Amino acid sequence: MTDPICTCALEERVRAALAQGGLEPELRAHAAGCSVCRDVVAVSDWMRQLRNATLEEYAAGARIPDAGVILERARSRRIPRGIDAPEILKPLRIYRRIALPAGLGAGIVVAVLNASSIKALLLSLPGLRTLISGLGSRPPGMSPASFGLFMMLAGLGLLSILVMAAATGIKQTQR
Amino acid sequence: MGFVRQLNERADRIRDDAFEAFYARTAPALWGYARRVCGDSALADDIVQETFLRYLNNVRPEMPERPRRAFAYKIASRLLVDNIRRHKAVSLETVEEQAARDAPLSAHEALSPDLKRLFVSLKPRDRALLWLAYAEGYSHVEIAEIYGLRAASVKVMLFRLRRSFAARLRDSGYRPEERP
Repeated sequence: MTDPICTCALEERVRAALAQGGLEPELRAHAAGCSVCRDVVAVSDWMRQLRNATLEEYAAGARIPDAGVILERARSRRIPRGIDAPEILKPLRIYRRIALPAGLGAGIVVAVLNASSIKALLLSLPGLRTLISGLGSRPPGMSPASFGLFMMLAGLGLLSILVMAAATGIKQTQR
Repeated sequence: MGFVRQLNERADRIRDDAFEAFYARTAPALWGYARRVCGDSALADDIVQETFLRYLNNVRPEMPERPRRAFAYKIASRLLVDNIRRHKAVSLETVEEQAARDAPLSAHEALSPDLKRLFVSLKPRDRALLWLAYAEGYSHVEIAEIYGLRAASVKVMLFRLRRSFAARLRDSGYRPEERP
């Protein structure tokens, strides 16, 4: 169970007066007979002495710069007015959004326009024709079911590589 | 154009003078707050400097002085929390106790090492609350604003802290000074 909180209507006044330096006779008479204000007086008195001792320590050895140095440093930290950072970065943000779709689209257009040349180039590569013709035909000794499964797994593998490459590219563009 | 530039320069000079005066009044107490909460005078130096840099770039100059000072304490408190979290591996108590041992005897004889240890044994946030309330005289509402808490919560926390701290002071034989 929590203890009841005892307060006094004059507590804040007593505390404020002690922080200002001392109690008026009326408040001192009250504090002598009030347990709450007696505690306030004891704690305030001790804390004020600790404060004075700390101020002596400050005068003896604190190393803080002059007000002028603080003012200069604060000025140099400030972002100059009139510069709108989001406005300046706008072209960069637009570029980031359109870079990937625009690149893919341009690639597809180039590929379509030069389809015959690309096909001729690919077919002229040694071994590629054999590989392409071999892809569709089942090796001897392999059952049709095993061949189907093999082709499906190969397709999935290729698809996952393409998805991973695309996702990595998108992430890097967004950075 | 020349007239406008002159006016701007004059306004800057007035602002700079006002800041210099504010700095002279606030920096020692703010350093004391940082020093007693984090327990390390070098870290307090850094925190005070950074506090005023952030203060200059964020304060509304038309605010009255007391809220502006509270704003500086708010920045310092956030920096203290961040630094204490970052340097949790180093025991603040050990640093503070070592400093208390090495320090020359204080002119304030009532602050015996035992009583200093009493304060150091508190959690950093409790030290901060006690300091703001009883060394600087901030109200519950102002402390709540500085720490981003509800005023009612601050009142409860301060009540418990004050009661236990006062009991420990009494047990140590501490008697408040008689003042006019």
